[in-house]
Amino acid sequence: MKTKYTLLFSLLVIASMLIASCGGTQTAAPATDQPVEPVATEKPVEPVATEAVSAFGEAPALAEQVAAGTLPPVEERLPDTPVVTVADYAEIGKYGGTLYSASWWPEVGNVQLYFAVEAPVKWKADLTGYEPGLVESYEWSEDGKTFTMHMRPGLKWSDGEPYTTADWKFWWEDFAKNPDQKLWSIPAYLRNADGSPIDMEFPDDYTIVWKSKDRGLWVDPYFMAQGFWEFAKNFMKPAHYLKEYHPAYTTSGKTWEDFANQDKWWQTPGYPCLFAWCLTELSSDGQNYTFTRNPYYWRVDGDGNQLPYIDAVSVEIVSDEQTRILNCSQGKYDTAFRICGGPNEIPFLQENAAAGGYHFLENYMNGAGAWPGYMVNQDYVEGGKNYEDDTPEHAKEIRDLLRDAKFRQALSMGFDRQRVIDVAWGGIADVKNYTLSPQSWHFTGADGQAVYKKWAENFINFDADAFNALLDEIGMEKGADGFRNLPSGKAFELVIDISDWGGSLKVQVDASEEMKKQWETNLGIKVKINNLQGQPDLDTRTNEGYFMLRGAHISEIDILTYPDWLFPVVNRYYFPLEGRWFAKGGDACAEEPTDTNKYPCGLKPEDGSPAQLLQALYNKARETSTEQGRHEVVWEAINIHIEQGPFVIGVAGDQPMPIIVKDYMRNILDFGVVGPWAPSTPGNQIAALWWMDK
Amino acid sequence: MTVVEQTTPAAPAKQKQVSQSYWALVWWKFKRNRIAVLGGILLLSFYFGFVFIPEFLSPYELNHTSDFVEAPPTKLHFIDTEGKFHLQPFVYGMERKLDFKTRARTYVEDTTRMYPISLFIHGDEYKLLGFIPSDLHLYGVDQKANPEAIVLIMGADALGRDWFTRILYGGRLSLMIGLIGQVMTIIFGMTLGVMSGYYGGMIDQVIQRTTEFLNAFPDIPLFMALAAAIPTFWSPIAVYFMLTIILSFVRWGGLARQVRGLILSLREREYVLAAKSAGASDARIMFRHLLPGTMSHVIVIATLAIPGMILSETALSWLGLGLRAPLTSWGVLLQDAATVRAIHTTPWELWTVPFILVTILAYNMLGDGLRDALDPYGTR
Repeated sequence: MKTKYTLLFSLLVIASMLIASCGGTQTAAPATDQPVEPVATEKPVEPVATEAVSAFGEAPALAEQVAAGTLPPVEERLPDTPVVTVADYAEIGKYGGTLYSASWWPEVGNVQLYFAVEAPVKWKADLTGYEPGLVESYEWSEDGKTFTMHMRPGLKWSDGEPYTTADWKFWWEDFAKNPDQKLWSIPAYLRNADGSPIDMEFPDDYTIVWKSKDRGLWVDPYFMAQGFWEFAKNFMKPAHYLKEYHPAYTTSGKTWEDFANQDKWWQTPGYPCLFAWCLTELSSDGQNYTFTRNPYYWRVDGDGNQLPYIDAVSVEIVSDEQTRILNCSQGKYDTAFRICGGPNEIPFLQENAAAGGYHFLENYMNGAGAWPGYMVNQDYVEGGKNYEDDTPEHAKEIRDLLRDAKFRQALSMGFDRQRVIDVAWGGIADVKNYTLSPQSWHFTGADGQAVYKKWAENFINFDADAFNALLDEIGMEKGADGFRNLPSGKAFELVIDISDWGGSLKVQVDASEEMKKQWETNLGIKVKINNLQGQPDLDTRTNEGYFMLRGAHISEIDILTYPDWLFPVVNRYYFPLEGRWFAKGGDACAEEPTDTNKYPCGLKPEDGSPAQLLQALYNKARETSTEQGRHEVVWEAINIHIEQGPFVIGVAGDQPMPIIVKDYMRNILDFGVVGPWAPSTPGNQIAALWWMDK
Repeated sequence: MTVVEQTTPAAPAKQKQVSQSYWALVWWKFKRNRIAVLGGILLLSFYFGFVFIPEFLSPYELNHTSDFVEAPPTKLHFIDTEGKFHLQPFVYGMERKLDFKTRARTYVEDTTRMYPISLFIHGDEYKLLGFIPSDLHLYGVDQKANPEAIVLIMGADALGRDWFTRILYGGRLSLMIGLIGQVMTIIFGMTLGVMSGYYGGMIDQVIQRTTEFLNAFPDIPLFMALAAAIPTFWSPIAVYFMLTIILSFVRWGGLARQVRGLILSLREREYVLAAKSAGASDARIMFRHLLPGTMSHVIVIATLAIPGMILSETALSWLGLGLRAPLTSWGVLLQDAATVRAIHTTPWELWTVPFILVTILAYNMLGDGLRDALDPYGTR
C-alpha cells in the first residue's frame, strides 16, 4: 500500500511539474512545496490538472474565488486577446506579497506613477517614444486632423463591467462638454485652433475618433501619456459607476458636488479602475491607502499568468521628508521612488543599505537640465514692489535690461559653476548650462546629441574679461558703492526669488547665496535673495511677471507635451506674460485690465522677438507629421535659445537620485528619469511585472 | 513690598547704617543667590559679546566663504608629529577628498603644513558697532601670510563659512529682536493694565474687551498674512522687526490683565489715599505710586517671557516664517541642522543648540533669582 501511494504521489508530482513548465499554471511553486503525506496529494493536484486546459494562470487568491464561484474564470476576465507582456529585464515571477511605500500628500501621486499611467498611449520603457497601452492601436489620417484609437475588445473594469466607447462617450458628452459642470475644463490639446472643443466620434463599441476641423492632432494624443493626471484623473470615467452621481442620470438627487467627491479613483474605495491595482481600502484617518490586485487586469506574462504578481500596494502618508528618509534608511519601504530626498542623501542611505536590506538602482537620474537654474524674467513688469519706485517706466528699464542678451550672457559667464556644485551638490554634478533633460527623446541620434552638447556648453566659460566687457558695453557703470547701475544711472539690485523648487530648499538657498557672492564680486551687480518658501505670493510673483530671477529646477523629456520650458505658450516661467498672450488666444483676448490684474491678456511679443519666433515654431511643430520632423523643429527652437539666450542661467544638471528597493524585489528595470513627472517613471516600465522573492 | 512703613522708627545714632533703600536690599538678596548672579553674568556677557562685538570675537567676517565646504571642526594641536610641544596651539592644513562612488566628502589633515593660532590677529576688515573700522580678531590664523589656512573651531557650513562665526552673528539678531519685542509688549501691557485697574468702570471694560478681541488673533496666520503684505524692497530684518512690533501690539493683553489685577488690590491701600489727599494727579498716582508696586511681578514675567520670544523667533524661522536664510539667526541655523543629513554628515551644526539652551537657562536663572530678591523681606 505504502509504495503504491509513493509511486502515485511521485507520478503526480512529475505530472504537475511538467504542466507547470509548459506554462499552464501559476508557477512551479506548488509542485515543489507538496507536503509528503499522501492524503494531501489528491486534492491539490486535481485543480492543477483541470487548469492545465486553460492557457492562463492566476493568483492563488483569485483561483480560490473562482473555485467558490464568486469570480468568473480567468479566461473570461481577460480581454479577447490578453496583452502578453515580456521584457528583457523581466523573468517569470511568483505571486504574492504586499508592496509598502509612502507618499507625502493625499493624492499619493508618486505611487500613482507606478501603475496609474497605463493610458491609451503610454511611454516606452526606455523613454524613447510612445506605444499603445490600454488601446490596441491608434493611427492618424493623412492630414493629421483625425486620430483614431482601437480599444481592446473584452477589456473590463475592475468590477467586471466591459470597458467600451460608452465610457468615453459618457466622459466626453455628459461630463467634459457639459456646460453645467465646473470641475474640469477641456484642455488646449482637445480644442481646435479657434478654441472650440474638437469632435469626438464613437462609430462602434471599440473605436474612438478625434476630429479637429482646423489643425493637426499630431502631438495631442501624447498628452494622455503624461503622468497620472491626464488620463487616470480626467479621462478614466466608468460610466456604469458614475452615472448614479451624475445630476442628469441620478435617481437619488446627486449634485455635481457629490460627483466631484465620488470621482476620485485614488480615494474612493471600490471605484472601478483599469490598472493593475485599484483602491480597495482607505483608512479612516486618510493616512493609509491599500490598492489591491485588479482581477480583470489585462496583461499576462510570457507564460500566460495574469499579472500583477504582487497582491497589493500599501501606501502610507508621511508628510515629513526627514521621517521618510529615516524610514528609507531602515528599509521600511519595498520601493522608494522620489520619497528618500535628493542626491545629497545618497551617502547616508548608502551607509545603511546593508543593514536596511535594500540597494540602489544606480541608473536612475534626476534628468535635470538645470538644477539649480535661474530663470531670467523676459516680461518683467511693475507691481512686485521690488523697490520703492515701482513704476511702469522703471519696470520697463529693468525689462529692457533683462531682455538684453548681453546682460544674460554676462550673468551666465560671471560665476564659477564648479564652486556652486561644491557648495550645493557635495562636489558632484555636471557643469552645464540649462537644457531639457539630457535623456530627452529630442536628443537621440547624433544630430540630437550635437544640439544638446552645443546648448549645454553655451556661455559656461568663466571669463572675467568677457563678461565685464559685455556689461560695460550695455552701459552699466559702477556707482559710488562699487556696484553697477542701470544704463540710465539708476541704482540696480537684482532680486533672486527662491523656493524649494526641485525638492530641496537647502540646495536653492546655498546655491543662491553662492551666486550672490560671485555675481557681486565678479560682475559688480548687487544681488538680493528673496526667500519665498511657504509665502503665499510665490507663484503670483512668477505668473504676473514680478520676479527678476527665480531659482528653478528644469527637466523635461517631451517638450511638445510640456512646452513651458522652451516655448512661451503658457502663463508660466520666464515668458509669463507673452506666454499668457498666446494661451489667451493672442489678439482675440478682450479682457479688461483691472487694478489687481494689469495684464489679463499678457503682453504681445514684439516683431522678431525670440518669443514670437518660438511661438511660431511651436505651432509649426504641432503641424509636423513625422517624429523626426518635430525633433527638427525643436532643434530650431533650441537654436534660438542658443543664439538669443540664455533665458535661464543653468548651473548644474543631471544628478543621480537615491532610488532604493529592497533586495528581494525583482523585475525592476534599472533605468529611469525621476525629475520630470510626465514620463511617469517608474510606470514607463510595467510595475505589474514586479515580484517579491521572499 | 510696601516699603516705607516697615523701616523701624527710633534707634537714632545707628539708624543711618541699617536703613537701606528697597533696591539696596534687593541687590543684597540678589547677590546672595549664586545661581541668579551666574545667570546675570552669562546674559550680560552674551549680550555684550553677541550684540556689540561679534565681529571681534569671531575669526572671520560673516560672509567669509572658503573652499572648506562642510569641513568638520579643525583640531587644535599642541604636539606636532615629531612629538615636539608648542606653547602656541596650531592647526594643520586640510585637504579635501571626494569619493565619487559614495558621494562622500572627507577632509584629511596635511601634517606637512602647520599654521599657528594667534590671539588678537589682523584679518577680515569690519566696522565695530557700525562705525569703528578695524581688522582685529580675538583669535585666528594669519590670513595674509597663509591664505590657504583656516581655523574652524565648530566646523563649516555648505559655503565653507565658519560655523562659530555664524553663531556669534546669529546671536545678535536672535537676542536683540526678542528683547525689543518684549520691551514693547511690557510698555503696552503695563500702561494699559494700570489704567484699566486704576480707573475701572468704562475704561476698564473697553480695555479688557479689547484684550479679549486681540487674544483671539492666531499668531502664525497673522504672521503669514503680514509677511506677504510687506514690500520686497524692505530688508528681511526690517520685515521681521516690523512683525515683532506688530505682534507686541497683539500680545500685550496677558500682561495687562495681570497688572490690572495687582493694581485692583494696590489702589485700596492707604498710601494711595494719602497721595490722593495730598492732591497728586492721576498720572502721578498711577506711574509713581502704583506701578512700582507691580514691578517685581513684571520683571519676573519679562525675564521669563524673553526666552519665549527667542524661542518663537527660532520656531517661526524653523517653520520658514519669521527670519529666513540668507539671514543668520539662531532659528535659521537651527533649521539648517534639523535634517537627517545634517546630523549624519555635519553634526557640528548642532553647536547652535547649546547656545540657545544656555541663553534660555540663564534667563530663567536670573528671573528666578529676581523673583526672590524683589521680595527682600521674605524668608527665602
